[in-house]
Amino acid sequence: MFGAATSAYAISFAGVTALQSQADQRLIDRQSPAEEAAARLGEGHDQLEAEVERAAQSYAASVTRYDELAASLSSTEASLERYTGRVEAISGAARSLPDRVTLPTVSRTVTRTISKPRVSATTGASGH
Amino acid sequence: MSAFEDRAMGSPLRLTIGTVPPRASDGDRAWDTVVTSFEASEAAMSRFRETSELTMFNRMAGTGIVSRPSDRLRCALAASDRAHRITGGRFDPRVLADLDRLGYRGAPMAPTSDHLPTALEASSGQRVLSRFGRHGVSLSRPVDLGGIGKGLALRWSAAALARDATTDFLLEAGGDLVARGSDPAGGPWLVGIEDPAAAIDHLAVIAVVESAVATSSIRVHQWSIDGREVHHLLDPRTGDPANGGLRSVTVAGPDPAWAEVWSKVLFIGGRQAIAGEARSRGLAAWWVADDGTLEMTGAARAMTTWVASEAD
Repeated sequence: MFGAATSAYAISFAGVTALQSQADQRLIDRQSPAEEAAARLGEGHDQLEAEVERAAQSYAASVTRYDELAASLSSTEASLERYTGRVEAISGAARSLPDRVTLPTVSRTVTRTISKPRVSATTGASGH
Repeated sequence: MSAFEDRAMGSPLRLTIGTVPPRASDGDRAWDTVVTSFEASEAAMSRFRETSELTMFNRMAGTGIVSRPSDRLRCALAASDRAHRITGGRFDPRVLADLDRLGYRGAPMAPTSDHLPTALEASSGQRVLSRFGRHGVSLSRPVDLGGIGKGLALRWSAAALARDATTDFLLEAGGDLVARGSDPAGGPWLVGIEDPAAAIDHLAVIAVVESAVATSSIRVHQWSIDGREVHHLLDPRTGDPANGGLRSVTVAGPDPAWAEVWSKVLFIGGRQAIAGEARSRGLAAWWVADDGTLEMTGAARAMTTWVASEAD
């Protein structure tokens, strides 16, 4: 009698264990995609962080370059101001020139030094 | 200086040797070379000789008969054909019928021929000659090789003189000439450009070095027919004498035949077109307008040593 009860128990226990194992496996299977998604989300976050860092570095470099250009532009503007002053000075000098200048009379002398050279032949009309 | 003179191809033929030949016989030999060469050219290309090879070919023109010309005539026909193509038809040796119609006649074509086909009647795309095999030639229309023939005769004679080691000479044929080497004074050969109105002897003097000079002028060949004045420089596009406001055109260039072609083509083109055409082709060209004005291209100015109108 005792043996039979023990056997029944063992069988029942084994059945319960098997059922529990199947339930655990289903739970594991349900949780696996969520874990993978969490892992991918973490990777994306890391990449985004790296991009933001690179953008920040690029921005810092642009700011430095802009500062350099601004300094150069200031120098160019200073040069233009100097040229403007010179042009105004030249323009003022040009305005002070007279509208007409009377040149002295030039006497024109032509010396004929070329005489007709002696020719060896004549090119012209032919005749039959 | 040695000078020789005779007549050939209906024009004065003159040879002037710049350097004194070592022996007097050298000059005579050079002259013999010229005369012999010109005689061969005239026998091949004259339209005025009854017995010339060209007269024979002209009589067979349009019949389809194929004959083998001499080297000189074949070269002359080929050069004429090339000139016709290069000048866009403004040079056309087939104006012979029009010359005949206007009274400038050569040897009769045939006893029964009362109508010669003109250059105008030749289709624009038709060649001057048709070739058959390596040597056979047939003419579509009778041709006149007058100007280009004289240029070729000068070319061949000058080449013959050079082969005989004559280096300094001036060879003239009827207003066209070839200059090689230097004149007796050791300088360039000086050549006067004739005044077509004959009011003065020369309108300008040019220095010719290793070059040829040809002039197309109406000073000599003018006559009246049916009450109108005509001349021998015909426009093949009309069949009538060119009337573009020019009296003469002179061209200098390496070859006398092509100098002759361009002088004629420029003359036909007329006063309005001559400057642009001559300058675009880089030609050394001088021209005299109906009003007696002498004009020239830049290349011509570089050769000009004296101009009558500038000396006055």
